[in-house]
Amino acid sequence: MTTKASPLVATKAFPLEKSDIQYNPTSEEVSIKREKFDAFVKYVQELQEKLEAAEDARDVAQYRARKEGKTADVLQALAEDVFQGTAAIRGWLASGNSLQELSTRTGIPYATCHRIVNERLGTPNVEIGHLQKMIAGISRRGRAFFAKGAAHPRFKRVLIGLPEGFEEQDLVSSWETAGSEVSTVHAGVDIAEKIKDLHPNLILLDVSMPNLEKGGLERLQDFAKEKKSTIILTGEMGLANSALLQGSLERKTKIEELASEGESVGG
Amino acid sequence: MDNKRYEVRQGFAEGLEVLGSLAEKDREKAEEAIAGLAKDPWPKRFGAKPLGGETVKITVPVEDDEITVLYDVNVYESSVEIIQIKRRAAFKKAGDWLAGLMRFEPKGK
Repeated sequence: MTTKASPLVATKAFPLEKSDIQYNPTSEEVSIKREKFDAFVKYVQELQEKLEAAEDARDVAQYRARKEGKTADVLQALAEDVFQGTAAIRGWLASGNSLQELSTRTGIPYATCHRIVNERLGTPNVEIGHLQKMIAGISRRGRAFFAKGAAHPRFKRVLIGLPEGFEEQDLVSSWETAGSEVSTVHAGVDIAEKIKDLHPNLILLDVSMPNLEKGGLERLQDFAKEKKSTIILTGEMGLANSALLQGSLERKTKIEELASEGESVGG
Repeated sequence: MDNKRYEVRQGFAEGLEVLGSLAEKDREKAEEAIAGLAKDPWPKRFGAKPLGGETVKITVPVEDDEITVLYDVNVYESSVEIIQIKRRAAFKKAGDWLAGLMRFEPKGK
């Protein structure tokens, strides 16, 4: 009887000694030690488990990539234009969703959502829960600007800039009830005067306000720097009736500058 | 197992078509198993196995096959996010073959 090791299974991972396998050329029968046979089966079983685990790991990795891709898409969409981003976030929150929900649905981490809201809306010094309520209260032209309950006592002096025709009483009452001194303005040319009188630490400004010309916008920025105020720009991009302002808003960098200035001086 | 309910999400799931390819009885079984994650995201009945991090795997036996469901469990958000639904046919076949080998007894013993 001749005995020889099988080259098929004699691998580094599963070593076999010559004596482990016997081959009988007469009967053409191969025999293997029971101990080695069991070890071999166990080895193949472990190999199968590793293969399956590798396949699962691949699927999970692909899922993470899909999700990240989606996140990247949404972030990109938000980053495209500050007003697109604002509208997207506002839409989410106004539909009764929380910031957490926004995070969950888009796959954007909560902290990132928080940062985006702060950056895009330029309201870094408003607590996020309050911001949600505030944003949820924003309505379209012809209706109340913010709903009742949006006000926050943190802002002692508030200047609200709205075009004529907005129902502002609810908004004004809301802020007054919260203990703020409120003043309203309906045209961009009056803003400087009102700022001088009131020294507001919060300016809620609708972009569709008339006569909000370059000078007014620059004064607002100067004011934000000087007086440590927060400016919240809101409203519909399409309603911005100052060509100059609209041009500014379309240039993302300008708005980002404005938002970051608001952030850096907010207090 | 806690008493809270988990929201089962399938927004990023792959392999949902596998459910559609199953016989009605099997599909109901697999769908029930997935829906059941809302109550128990680690069902022992389907051999829930943690794969690391938040990821868990269950295996639902169906006629002539097994369905594997991979998902993430977020206990803070009370959510279960389905990652992948797939047939386990090849691995099941190999497993069955190996199980047969393990039970092998030589002639004459």
